[in-house]
Amino acid sequence: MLLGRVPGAVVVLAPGGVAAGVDTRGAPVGTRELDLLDPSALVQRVHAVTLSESPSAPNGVMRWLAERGHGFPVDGGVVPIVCGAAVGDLREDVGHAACEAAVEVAVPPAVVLVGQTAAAFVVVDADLDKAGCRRVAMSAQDGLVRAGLRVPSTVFALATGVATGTPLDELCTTAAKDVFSALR
Amino acid sequence: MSRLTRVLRWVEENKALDRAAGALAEAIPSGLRSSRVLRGEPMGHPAHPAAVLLPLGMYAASNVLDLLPGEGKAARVLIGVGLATAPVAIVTGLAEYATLDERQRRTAFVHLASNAAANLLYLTSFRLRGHGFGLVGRVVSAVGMGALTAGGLLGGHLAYSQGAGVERERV
Repeated sequence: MLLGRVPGAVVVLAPGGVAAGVDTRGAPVGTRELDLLDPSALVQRVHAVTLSESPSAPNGVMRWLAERGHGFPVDGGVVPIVCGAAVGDLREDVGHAACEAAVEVAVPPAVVLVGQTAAAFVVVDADLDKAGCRRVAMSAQDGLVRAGLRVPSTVFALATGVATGTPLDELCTTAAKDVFSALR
Repeated sequence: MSRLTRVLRWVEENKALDRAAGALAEAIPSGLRSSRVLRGEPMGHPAHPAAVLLPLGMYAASNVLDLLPGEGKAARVLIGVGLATAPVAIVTGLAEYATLDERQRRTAFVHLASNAAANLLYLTSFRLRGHGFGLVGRVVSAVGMGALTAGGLLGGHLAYSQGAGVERERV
């Protein structure tokens, strides 16, 4: 997984696709493609998750991935599956710049962005499917609550796909702690 | 609930199937996934249930001929026609598969596996008969009919109990 950070956006890129889940509380605005994270949806993997100040950041991320041919194959090309949550209403699309800045690093266990709403992602070292990821995301929300956050929030959970044998409950507890510490 | 419906319910609720069933949904070529004709849009309802009658009818008829004396050659021809028309059932089925939700996908996955096994069995039977192993071929055919019945049962569950493809196309 690649991590790209520029002022106003954080993007996790997984050109090969990664299982992800999401949980929202309150009614966060500026979210993008959250419905496809439902286990019923056709696509099982996402290619990027974006947290940003601007709701249009996923556009740039999609463009960056499509330029390189990463995405879900459809007739006549690929569609990169990019989910995102925005915490502000900045107009500028910094998604592409964030991708350009992305490097292969050890992705921190949790990243939280707080603005008018809160957006976060946690990365767990496990081989989970979408339903498992959603379960982790739901627990990770508790970390935000514990840290005293009182704004609508969107939390993504991504699984690296490395089977470590850690029980799901433990992953959930750790995710909540990670989110809590990321806010501190 | 009868014992049989309990098994169907168990398949439908088996989360262990999700990974494989989901991966298959993603792996279906976009040409099949987005084909309106294969999904049966021109007819106003899914094409798959009608398309399967071709191979299914041929296979079933060959099983009947197996019970009659001196019809070995005719039975083999019917299996051959069944094998030749099976791809129609397979592609229409895969086109449907991409439209299913999670629970339906589980049933569909087992349905697909069971019918794939049936087709392989009939193919084996066809080749055995060609090499003069008529009796073994008949036994393999009978096992194939068993797999086909299981597959058909799951298909019926998918359509009538789980409502896959119901009221999807505009009429």
